[in-house]
Amino acid sequence: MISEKLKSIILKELNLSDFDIKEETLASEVPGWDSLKNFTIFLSIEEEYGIKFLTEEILSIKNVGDLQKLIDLKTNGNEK
Amino acid sequence: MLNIYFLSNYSIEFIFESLRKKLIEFQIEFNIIYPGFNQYSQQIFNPESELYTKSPEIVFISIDLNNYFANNFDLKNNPPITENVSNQIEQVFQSFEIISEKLKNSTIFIDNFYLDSTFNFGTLEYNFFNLEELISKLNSRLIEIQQRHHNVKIIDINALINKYGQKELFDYRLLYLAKFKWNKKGIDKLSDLYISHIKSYLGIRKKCVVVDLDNTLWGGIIGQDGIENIKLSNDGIGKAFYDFQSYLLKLYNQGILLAICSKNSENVVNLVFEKHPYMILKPEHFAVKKINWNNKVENIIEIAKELNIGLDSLVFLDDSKFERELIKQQLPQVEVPDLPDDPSLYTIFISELDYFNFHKLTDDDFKRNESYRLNFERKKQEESFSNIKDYLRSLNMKVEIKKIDDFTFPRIVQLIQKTNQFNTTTKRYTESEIMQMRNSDEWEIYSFSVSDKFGDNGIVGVFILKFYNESSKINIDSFIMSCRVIGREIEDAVLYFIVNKAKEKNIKTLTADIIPTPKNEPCRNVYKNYGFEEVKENSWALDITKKDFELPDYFQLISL
Repeated sequence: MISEKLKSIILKELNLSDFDIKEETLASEVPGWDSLKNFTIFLSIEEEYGIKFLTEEILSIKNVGDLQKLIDLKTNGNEK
Repeated sequence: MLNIYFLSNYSIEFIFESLRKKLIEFQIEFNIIYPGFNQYSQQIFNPESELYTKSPEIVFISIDLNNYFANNFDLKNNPPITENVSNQIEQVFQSFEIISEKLKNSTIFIDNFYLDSTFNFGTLEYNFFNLEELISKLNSRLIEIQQRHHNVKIIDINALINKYGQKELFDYRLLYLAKFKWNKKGIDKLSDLYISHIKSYLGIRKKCVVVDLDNTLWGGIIGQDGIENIKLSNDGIGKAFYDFQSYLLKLYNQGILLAICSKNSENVVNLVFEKHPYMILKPEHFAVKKINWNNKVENIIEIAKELNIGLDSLVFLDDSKFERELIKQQLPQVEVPDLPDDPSLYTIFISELDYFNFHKLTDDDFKRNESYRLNFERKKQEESFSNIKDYLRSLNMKVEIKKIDDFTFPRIVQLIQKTNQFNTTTKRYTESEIMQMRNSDEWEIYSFSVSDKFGDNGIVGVFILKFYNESSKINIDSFIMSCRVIGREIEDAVLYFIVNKAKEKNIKTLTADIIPTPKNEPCRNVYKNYGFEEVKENSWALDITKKDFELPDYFQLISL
């Protein structure tokens, strides 16, 4: 499940009012989610959740599901 | 449309979104062009590159030397860099020379250099290795380039990094993911810095700071505390106010107008001006003083009116939240920054406001305040004459008209870019367009200056003529005059000059357009009053063969 919080961070960074973001969604399928935006999305997630990603982790993420799992891991499942 | 070209050796496109948002906020129409970070040399060294075919108004060059340093040290040398790096640096400087020569009509902004703290040699630095010194030397070389090429401006990225610190601004993970290391805050601050330069280039700035007195220029309330108890001195908290006044004085000396808007009794305030030893601002530094018990909204409207400037040229500084909110609500055009609660922070606060950006100060900027003061003396005298012509005659006005040259160029650019009120067509020609017109046979650009018995106003206006010799016509493309001299009928002397210019060239007709804007009311009737006929709406023509023209007797006209 992709949390509302994560979804809203992504949509806000991309200036989208709505988009169906699922676990298997790839960045390339979401309008405006290019390599540039990718980093601002990561930076916003770090800010919002108070976590830090390793460079390797950012590189290893394949889809939004992976991203959600990584956030869950770093926040011990307790979204702040 | 402002074409902004970026050249860089790192992925500077990460700041573009932030930059775009800010440009839109200032209603600047723009187009950002970036050929990619690996395109730097190709764009500059290839004479047929897009850079030269596009010939953009603005080029930003951001070279991060640290990209060359990485893993390229030679510790047998001092500065400890390899020959290869040293060659790369030379190539960068060569590229600066080439672009400044080739794009003479563009403004080239170059970031100065800094050393990434990663590469600083710690205790060895300055004692054994001189890498920081190398950077300083390179920055001095950059200044030399700026001094040799009038189209080059330096962006002091070092000052930005000094202020916030590299750890605050960089995220090194990005360097390996994206060849870019500025974090969100860094992106925000870096784009702010570029925006300041763009605003300065476009002449977007405030003209006047309106200040309150109690708890703004000094601590305490003069009416209650008395002159001996207000806080204003050379130490302690009183020095905070003294320093704040000094900062305002510095702005004054750069040509920013100062005005007072304070709820107080004037005689009490005058006593402070006269007697207080640390009152660094004097009555003559203020172009207008509204010291009364009226509503500040009315006072501010009057200040703008008396100075002949728009409300949107004003910045209002007041410690009272109540007054600030009132002005924000009632006069939204006025810029009302929220002065911090602690007066110790006033000076740093005002220094960070991005309202007063200049790339150069002209003689006129230095003189501006003085000329506003003289205006009040003129006004006083005007009131003593019942007839305006008698008054004008008493002034002994001298109007000097001069074709554009290197010395008048900066002031002409400034007038074209920032004059709102007496500006017939409000065509905001850029420096490069003006340069092109200057070099063309079809165009002639003139400036005029006015002096009278009260003093010299310096260059107060510009007009641009376009010659259509085959159809025996001159079009007055732009007619611009500083609001400081409106009401002295100087336009009649200028039009008389243009008529004579036409006669000299056997030209029969003058044409001119008025393009109405929300602000240029004061010049709408200039052609009508001189006898032009309206051939279609806002389009005027004058057949100069039909009658004789005379220079009003209160002018002495000098054409140089």
